[in-house]
Amino acid sequence: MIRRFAPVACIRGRAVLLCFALVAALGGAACSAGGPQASPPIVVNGAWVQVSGGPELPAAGYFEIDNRGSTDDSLVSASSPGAASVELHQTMPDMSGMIGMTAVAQVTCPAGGSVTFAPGGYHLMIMGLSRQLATGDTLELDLVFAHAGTIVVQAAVRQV
Amino acid sequence: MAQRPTATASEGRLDGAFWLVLILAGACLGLLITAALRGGFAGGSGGSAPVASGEPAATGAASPSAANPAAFLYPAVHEAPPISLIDPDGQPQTLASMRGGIVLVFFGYTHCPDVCPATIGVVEQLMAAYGPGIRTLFVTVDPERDTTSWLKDFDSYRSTQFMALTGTAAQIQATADAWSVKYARVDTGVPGAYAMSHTADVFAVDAQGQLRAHFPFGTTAPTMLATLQAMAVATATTTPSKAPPATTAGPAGGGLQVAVVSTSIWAGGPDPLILALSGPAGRLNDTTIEPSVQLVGADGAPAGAPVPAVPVQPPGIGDVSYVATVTIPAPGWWHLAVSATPGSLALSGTADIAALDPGTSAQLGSAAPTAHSPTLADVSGDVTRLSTDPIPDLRLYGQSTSDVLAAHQPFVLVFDSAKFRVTSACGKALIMARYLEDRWPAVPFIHVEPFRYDVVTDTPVLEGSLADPTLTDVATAWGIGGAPWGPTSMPWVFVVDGQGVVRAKYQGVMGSADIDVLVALIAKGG
Repeated sequence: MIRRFAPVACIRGRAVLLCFALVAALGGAACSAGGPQASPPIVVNGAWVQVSGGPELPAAGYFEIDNRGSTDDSLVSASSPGAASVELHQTMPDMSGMIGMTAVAQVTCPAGGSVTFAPGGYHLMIMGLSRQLATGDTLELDLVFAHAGTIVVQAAVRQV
Repeated sequence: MAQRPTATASEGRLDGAFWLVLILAGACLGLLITAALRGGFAGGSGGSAPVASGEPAATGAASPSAANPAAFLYPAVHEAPPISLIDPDGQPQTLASMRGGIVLVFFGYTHCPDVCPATIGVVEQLMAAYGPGIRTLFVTVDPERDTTSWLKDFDSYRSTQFMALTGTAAQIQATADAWSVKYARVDTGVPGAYAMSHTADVFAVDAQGQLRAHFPFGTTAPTMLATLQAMAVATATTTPSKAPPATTAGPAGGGLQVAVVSTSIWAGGPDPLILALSGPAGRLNDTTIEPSVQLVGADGAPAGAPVPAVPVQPPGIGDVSYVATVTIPAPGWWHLAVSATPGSLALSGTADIAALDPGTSAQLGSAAPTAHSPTLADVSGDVTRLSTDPIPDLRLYGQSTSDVLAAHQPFVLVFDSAKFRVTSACGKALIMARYLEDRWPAVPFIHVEPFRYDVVTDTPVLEGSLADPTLTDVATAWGIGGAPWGPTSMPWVFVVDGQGVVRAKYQGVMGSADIDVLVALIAKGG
């Protein structure tokens, strides 16, 4: 929500009014961006999608989740209007030396902490793409958090 | 002309209110700049905070050896293991025919969304930076889906220096074995939706066909480039040693190709080794033959007597596997010498196997521990006390190990945790169990959480930590927490026959086809 300062009475003169207008505009933007009252607790940065071929092959989605709030939150599901299904996955090396991936029910982002989705770790497995994606395209990802609700990101399609 | 506002006596004067406004403006501007620098500027409304950014996220952790590219070089130079497979045009390709330039080799599969595309991206960067004289061979570990036509489309998205290769399942297995690459199919029960776990290293072969370096997953292109440059220097100043003893994988002199399907091979007890055999005419699917299998030590001396390999064909599966129960005296590398006579044709072949140290885990060939695994009846139906799986399969908790042992039923025991994941394999054994129990409704599958936990408002809370969890009593009874594996070596799966004898066990990533064959064997009393 964009907040605006309440009008201040008894301000006279054009210069003063112009300054007031500037303050109102800046105040609204600043408070929605970084003010402690209105700052969203969950911020998703650097979203990108890696594709390895045609739309019949699964793609992977990556980003960083920054939890600026004071309580833990969890990414519990994801979807995309451009894909049939999206699952939360984790890739980890096994003691036998193999690397494998498996679906995870949720990914917890601790209060004041961050979680990185990156190749070889957490990732979104995006299946059933509705169109061919190429470097330079974007794909909308709808990330559902247990507390923060749905956060929509536009992920850039690129290679590593 | 616009009417000029009425001037007042105070116009142009910076009175107190104006200073207040300026101070507020400065403060808000400061907040705005701070937010922008944090990169968290998030506008929007309605509770949504869209962030459109093309900024790259951090990728996988850099290798600890990144500072020293030469650390990726093998200390000894060996001839690269052979590769003889089929390209997307259906044409035979061999690694030996590609001498004269650097060849990067890695194993993966096209349906891999994460590790393989990332590796492809890195090798494409590397090849672009290196220039002419380098190419990449991508060997699929998923020949079922990665057919030539499929790979032709896949290759169309790559540079011309990139080539995907496929072959029969036996050829792929033999090639991977020769490169000491492991892989396993992990079924989910959804048709066509299986995943493959696999070794994800990139190997570098020099222009003389010598295997010179290998890069773990996550190594960056600049580091690889520096290694290749160090490799060129080393090539110019050293003479390659003789090739190591020839690998026994690949087409053998006796015309029998031996692929070891078992994903866990153990020393210390009679271990059922699952073999896929192929002759000149393709895979042997003859249920009337019992090939002979001889264990051979690294020194070439036979160990024990030859044993017959029993043909096993699980229901609905087209291929026949041959199961040879072999007692391997000690952990380490061993050879198998296999002979088979399909029809009038006498074939022979060999394979290498690496036997694991069983440690304190329940011994193969011994009586299964009688510890009572808790059931739904023990916890008044509260499955959260028995499973951390968010969608538990109640069939896994209906019977106890002690019950089925008393009833002389064969069963499969799965130690795994969906929530407390100490390895990447955690959770997969449970998924596999669901798939297999659908296939084997008469065989009890029993799941036991390996770690103690409490349930706090429906949420499992681990006792201890993931680095040092506390094993449950049942897990302790089956000996899976002892050296050399330790409590963080999950998952484990044990297959017990109707006589209560531990017949097979699996640790870590395990293949669903592998366990399927074993269950087929014990289900028919084998």
